[in-house]
Amino acid sequence: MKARIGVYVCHCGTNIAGVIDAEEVAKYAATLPDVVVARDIMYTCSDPGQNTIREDIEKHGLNRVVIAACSPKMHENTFRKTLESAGLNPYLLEIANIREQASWPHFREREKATEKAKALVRAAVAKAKLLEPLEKRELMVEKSVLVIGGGVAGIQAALDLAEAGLKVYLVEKSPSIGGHMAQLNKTFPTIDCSACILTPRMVDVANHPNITLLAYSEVVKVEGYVGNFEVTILKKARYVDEELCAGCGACADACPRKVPNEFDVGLSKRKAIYVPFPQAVPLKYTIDPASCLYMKYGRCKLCVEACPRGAINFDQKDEEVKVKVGAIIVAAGFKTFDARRIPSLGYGKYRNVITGLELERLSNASGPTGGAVLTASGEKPKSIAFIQCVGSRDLKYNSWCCRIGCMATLKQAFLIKEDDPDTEVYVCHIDMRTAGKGYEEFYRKLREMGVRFIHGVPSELFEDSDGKLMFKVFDQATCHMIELKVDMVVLQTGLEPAEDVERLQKMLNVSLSPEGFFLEAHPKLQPVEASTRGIFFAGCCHSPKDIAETVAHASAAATKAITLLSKGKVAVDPLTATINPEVCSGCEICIGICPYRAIQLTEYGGRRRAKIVDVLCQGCGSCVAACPSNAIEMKGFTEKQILAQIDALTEG
Amino acid sequence: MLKLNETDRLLEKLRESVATLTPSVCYSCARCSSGCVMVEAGCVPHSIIQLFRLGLLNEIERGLWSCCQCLKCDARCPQEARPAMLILALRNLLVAHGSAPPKGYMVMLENVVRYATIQQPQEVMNKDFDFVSRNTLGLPELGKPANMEAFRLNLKKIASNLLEVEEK
Amino acid sequence: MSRIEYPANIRVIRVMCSSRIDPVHVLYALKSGADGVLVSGCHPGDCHYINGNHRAKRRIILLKEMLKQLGLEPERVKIDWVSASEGERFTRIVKEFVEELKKLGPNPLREGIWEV
Repeated sequence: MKARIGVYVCHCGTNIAGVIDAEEVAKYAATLPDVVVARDIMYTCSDPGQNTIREDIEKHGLNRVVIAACSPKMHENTFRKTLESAGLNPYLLEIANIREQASWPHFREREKATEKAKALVRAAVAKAKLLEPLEKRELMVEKSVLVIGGGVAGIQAALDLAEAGLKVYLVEKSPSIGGHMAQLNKTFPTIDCSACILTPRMVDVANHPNITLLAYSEVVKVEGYVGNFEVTILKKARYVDEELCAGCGACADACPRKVPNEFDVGLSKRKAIYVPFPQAVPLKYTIDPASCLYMKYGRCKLCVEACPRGAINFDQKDEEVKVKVGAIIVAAGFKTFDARRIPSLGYGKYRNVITGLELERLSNASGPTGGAVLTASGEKPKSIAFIQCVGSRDLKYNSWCCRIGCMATLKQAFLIKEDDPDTEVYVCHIDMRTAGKGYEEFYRKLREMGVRFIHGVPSELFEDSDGKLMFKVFDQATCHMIELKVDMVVLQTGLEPAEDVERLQKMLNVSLSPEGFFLEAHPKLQPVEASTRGIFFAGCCHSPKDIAETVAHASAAATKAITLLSKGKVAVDPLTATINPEVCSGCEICIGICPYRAIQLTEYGGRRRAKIVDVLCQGCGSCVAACPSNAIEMKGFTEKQILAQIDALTEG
Repeated sequence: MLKLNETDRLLEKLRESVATLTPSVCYSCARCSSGCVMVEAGCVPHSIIQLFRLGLLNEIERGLWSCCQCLKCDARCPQEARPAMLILALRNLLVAHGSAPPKGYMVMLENVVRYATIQQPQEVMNKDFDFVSRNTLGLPELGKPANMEAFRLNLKKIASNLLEVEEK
Repeated sequence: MSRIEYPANIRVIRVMCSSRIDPVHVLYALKSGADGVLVSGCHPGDCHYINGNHRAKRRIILLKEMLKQLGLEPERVKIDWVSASEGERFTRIVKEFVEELKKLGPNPLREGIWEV
């Protein structure tokens, strides 16, 4: 069929027409081969503008449309819909960007800008002639979601998804869900008990008919694509039969082996058979093979004798579980900065220098001291100094703000002052960042309570012979060097990407920001979506967040997954590469090149040939340029189309 | 007092003598000053940076010469603002504009010319309030250049070479 | 994009990723008489398509070697990184490139000096 092209040159008010002679460009376009109609329009994207195009398509039997206007990033989709509504395939559209590429950068050179606009229209017409109709394809989707990580973000996302009727697989690598929030004492600024608001939700997760909880498990393999992911999960052996274990704890009472308890940040001991904390979900005991005497030396088995239900099973093996899901929510959390990396602050060397997370455990009623904040010698500290931004906002360590340190310190200071108003509390800070609902008010309350804020942070601490800590800090309000001697120093350490972020990133084929957090598709408009379709981020694995923000982020991720899966099918963009099996030599070069692992080997006429998996292909075109046989073609950016554009641009 | 936009130009000029100057990135955490051994002597690194950024050069001079360039501030600065480098550059600027370094510096310089060290060995008091010297401790005499004349001559040469490079 | 001026003698062809650019396209443009070809992509490590820009870079480096062998100035081809928000940087790169090309003079293939 012969091409019948309509060209529309947009004035964009004065954005284009103020520099470029749009009328002249339209007149010029009319002289180009195959152009049936060419017009200049005040605002092409407006309703009347779009109507003109629709009318022309009908009246002149147009089968290609060229629009010379702003960047295709702005209105390509708008005009595709215009074509569609006029009964034309939406991919028979080409946009010449004469605003960002001609009128704006050359506003002082009107004639040259007009010439350039003509050239860009000429190239667009040349390409348009070669455009082919493309069909959007629709895929059936699996109505289930994988949630990676069982902290508050994963819990929130799982419950939202399950309530919406989707099947959820919640995978948590440690023996219990709960994450960091379960370790915290109170939450700011309301001083709600962290466990009291979290544990009911943990129980909801365990009881929800739509949620399959896979604790003490790790995702090891992800294959497939949006709507149809195939996930392999490694369920690690607990050496305790989950069906039989009633969580009575008789085994742990009998176990003779004590090791540092990770949940208490090493401040207390647990047994080799353990639950991380009393409210654990699922409340099933786990044997830690690295410390179990029987597993290490082949003797003991006291737990086997103690268990009234015969639940302990040393023959248990790791197990692989395969599930199919339509979407994946990554809620992998964070880790805290290791303060040992700053030796001058003495953490790990001076016994009364602790971290913020350690203070959380100490002040927690379920913690190692039953809620009493005590120094290493077991006394109540009369004076405590907080040091802010440890490892944060520092180019040598973490360049970013941890976002929660200021409020965490205020909360901890509040609890200390509430417990004993006579305790001297100092907060050495760079800036107090208290943006958030009720946060600034809380900061004022702390000032009223007599916490001493020092604008300045110390750079080195010393331990006196009596175990007290001495340091100098330059206070910027008084311009004086303050010398302090306190019983306890709390280092408010920052947040970092979790350890297995890179493993997950490779497995899921998503991007990381330079800091090592997961990178969203758009910082403002797509804050939970990965650039790979069907994958979403929730909580601190995306960037540091407090609990309220994490919950909001997780709900947003869940909503996006629900939206994606609600229709039961997804449309796939047709701008993908295709391989002509007649030409392909099966050399496999493209397979190694494809960043999305979208190319597979298949049989074709008894030979090995490469084949593109449409739904995985993101349309970068890397394989097209690499193919030595020219067997790959890129829809919407074909070899012929590009060469025609080059021809059109270099003529004249 | 400088006008604020003049400090930018001055910064460019200062980079001619010390290349690594980045005072503008300082966010006043005062880690430099908190760890500084010379604050009592009037040298407050983060405030020198801020005074410089605000163009209040006359206010800076007092602390400038007490810095002992231990570089602790540069090492601990979380933003790599490098206060010690700014102090060094500002000293160069002052001397280039004809202001003499404090007397102590000149004494040290004279000592180098005279004895080849910045200071002659002195007697000091120990914990038991006894005066001790290298002699009483049985330490050997300090070494000296074999030929003091040649040493001074070469010193002059080096100094004039440095000046020439500066002029270029 | 910010309205920053750059020379009006550049013409842009849109591809989704710098890795879509086949060295053949660059050669074809030079053969057709373009004085130079600028390939521009996302910054290394910040590729919208994971790692396409690295592939593009390797291809263009090799192509420049080929140009030398062909007797064409390798400076006629340039690859550089510009993100969507870096109008200023794009302008600077284009300006510098146009200046370099002016020094090199017109593309000998266009002038009919060479037979192809």
